[in-house]
This record gives sequence, C-alpha cells and structure tokens, in this order.
Amino acid sequence: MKNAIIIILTALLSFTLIGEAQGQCRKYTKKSCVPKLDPYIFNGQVNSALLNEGDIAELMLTFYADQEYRVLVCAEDQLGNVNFKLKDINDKVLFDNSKHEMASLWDFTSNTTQQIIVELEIPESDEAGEKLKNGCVAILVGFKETE
Amino acid sequence: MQKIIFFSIIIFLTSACNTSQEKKVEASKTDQATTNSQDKKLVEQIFYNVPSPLEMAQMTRDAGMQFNSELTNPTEKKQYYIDQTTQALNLGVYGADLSYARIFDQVQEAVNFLAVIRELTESLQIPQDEETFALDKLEKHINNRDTLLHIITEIYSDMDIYLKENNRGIVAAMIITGGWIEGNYLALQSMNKEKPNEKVLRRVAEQKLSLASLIELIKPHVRTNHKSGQILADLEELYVIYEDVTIETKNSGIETDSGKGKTTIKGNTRVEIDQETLQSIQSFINDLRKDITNP
Repeated sequence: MKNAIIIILTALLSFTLIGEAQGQCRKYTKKSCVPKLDPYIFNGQVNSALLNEGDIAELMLTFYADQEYRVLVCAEDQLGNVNFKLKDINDKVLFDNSKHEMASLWDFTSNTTQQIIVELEIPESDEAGEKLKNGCVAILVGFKETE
Repeated sequence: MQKIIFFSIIIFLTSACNTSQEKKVEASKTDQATTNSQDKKLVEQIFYNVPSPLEMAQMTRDAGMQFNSELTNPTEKKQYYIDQTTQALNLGVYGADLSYARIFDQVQEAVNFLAVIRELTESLQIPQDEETFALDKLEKHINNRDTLLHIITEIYSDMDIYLKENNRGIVAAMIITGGWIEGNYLALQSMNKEKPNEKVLRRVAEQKLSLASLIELIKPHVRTNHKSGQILADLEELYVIYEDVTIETKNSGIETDSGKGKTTIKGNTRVEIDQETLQSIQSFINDLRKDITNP
C-alpha cells in the first residue's frame, strides 16, 4: 500500500514537473524568440520542445514563391550553438548555419513554391561524464508583408 | 524502486506525446535503432506548419483581386457554433476573414471580426489578453495597418501557445484547419471562373503541398467517432483530388545579392492543374466550408 502511494506520488510529481517545464518552454519562446522575428510577421504557429543534447528536430513547411521569409532557431543558452539546415524534399542542403558562423536565423526568398525542411541538431557535450544538457528550442517562421 | 522508475518513464513518454503536435514514435525508434544502428540519427520531433491565411490573402490582393464582403462568414452566425470543434473551426474561419479584411484595408470589417473572435475565445475558455482585445485601442489606431497586423498575429500566436500548453492541441489544430479552409475558399471564390488569374490558379494548385502538411499536423490530435475525425477524413479525400495536380521542383542553387542583402533560392517548378481538377477542388472546398460554417 505504502509502495503504491509512493508510485502514484512520484508519477504525479513527474507529470507536474514535465508539464511545468513545457509551459516554461512556451513562455521562453514567446518572450525570447518571437521578438527576434521582427520586422517579419510571425506565422502564429509555435513549434517548441524540450530537447536533449544530440537530439534532432525537424519542421516542414510550404514556402511560397517570391515571399520573403525569416527562419529562426532559438535555443536556451545552456544548449550551446545549435546547428540547423534547410533542405528541399530531395534532401539537397540549401542553407547550413555552420557555414555562416552558426547564425541563429536566415532570411531568404524562394523563386518557386516548395516544401522545405528545417532540421536542427543539438550539439553533444565534448567532455565525458558531463551531465546531459537539455533545454528549450523553438523553430519559428516569419514572412514579410508586400506593399 | 525499479517500479517507480519504470512508471515515471511511462508517464514521461505519455506526457511528451500528449503535449506536442509533433510525431514521436518511441517504439519504432527503438526497433530501428537496434536493427540498423548505422542509419542516420533519428528525428526526435517533427513539426508541421501551414502557411498563414494572411499570406494567402496577400497573394489574392497582389494578383489584382478585389475585396468582397459577401464572401466572408457573417458574424451573426456565431450563435450557431455550440460545440468546441465547431467553435474552434470557425475561430479559424473568422481569423482568415480578419486577415482578408486587414490585407484589403477594410478596417471596420476587421473590427467586427475581432469582436466575434473575442466571443469565440471566451466560449472556448481561452484566456484573453485584455490589452490585445481592447476594441477602443483598436479604434484609436484604426488607420494604423501595423497595429492591426500586430493584434492579429498576437491573438493567434497566444492562442496557439495557450492551447498547446494546456493539452488542447485538438482545438489549436482545428483553428488552423478552419483558417486553411477559409483562406482557400476566399481565393477560389475571388477567382474568375471562366478565365482564372494565372497567379491565383498556381497558388491554388500549390495548396497540394500545404494540405499534406495540414493532414500530418492534425492527425495526432483527431479522435475517431468525433467531428475532428470526420474533418481529417474530408481533408484526406480532398488530397485524393489533389493527386491529379503535378508539382515538380528542382532547385539550382542559392544566389546572394550582397548589395540588397537578399538571398534567393533559385529553381524551377512545373505546376499543372486541369480544369476538371480545379472544379473538383472548388466544389469540395465549398462543401467543406458550408459544413463548417452552417453546422
């Protein structure tokens, strides 16, 4: 009986802590990431998650021809420099931030409408035995209004 | 102690799946990892987005279409939206109408849509930022296009954050779905049926791509024997029609104009849609929109 109570309490605690962490992640996205899209207009869809080092996340979105876009990858400081790439559906790499001083955003236009995959990877720690890093990461997309 | 750890892990996995719109299949991940450890790393989270209805409205304006208030969903219909799914779908519909009005500078229409949106968010028990929804503030800045745009973006992103945070991904998914359907409905209805505008026609055909993302986006949230399940089935049926649309893209590279500071993905796309397919898409979206707005 005592064990059952401990199990339930532990489960509830885990559930609460995870829910809390995910809530914090979305708050971080709103406060620290969305403003970085300015002067682009946020498309309103929040893609954020708690990720661990070595994790990979992808965002798939249709980008319209001749529209100006900003893709922003925003991560909490403890995760270090996050590598992200934009790839077309044939897996051709269109942009790799590791070749652009690990920039956190990319502004571009495509002259064709197409689906593009934004792929990010959380860097792994170099030092053995170091505590596993985790934190909030958001992939956001903004577009520019045409006059 | 082992039991405690195991149970905690189960809870962790369940929670992670429930609170995100993205696909995460732990079982298959484990299977694949053991059977083919040499494969490239597996993706932990996959997000799907669809373009904003603002982008679609912008395109109709740029293609020379005119604003037509009769195409939008009358605000008085809100009283018929009783259940949560219908309310969420129509919250998306009115959001697309609001974007349409804003893009064509129909500020009074936009204010009316904003008032309905406020009522629907109340019905759906989504907390509102009083400052954002302050109609007096909006009226004060009635001629400030940027303020209105900022308000639209803020309302919908705040809702998305709140709903995902509170495990109500289904409501967020239905809002996006309603917006996608209405954005397409407005573009299709604005089009000259006899001689469709080339740019609009192309954009309609290209919706094949965003429809595929929309289906993936809502799939994890819908429930069978539920209205959302029917919406998914309808969208999948629409995609079958879209299978007759050809889209082939070939990217040739990146071009940077350092003078203008602009980077362009260069490429070619072949888009083909025949008259019969266009009519089928139009008819299907009309019916779908009718079902949503006239429950």
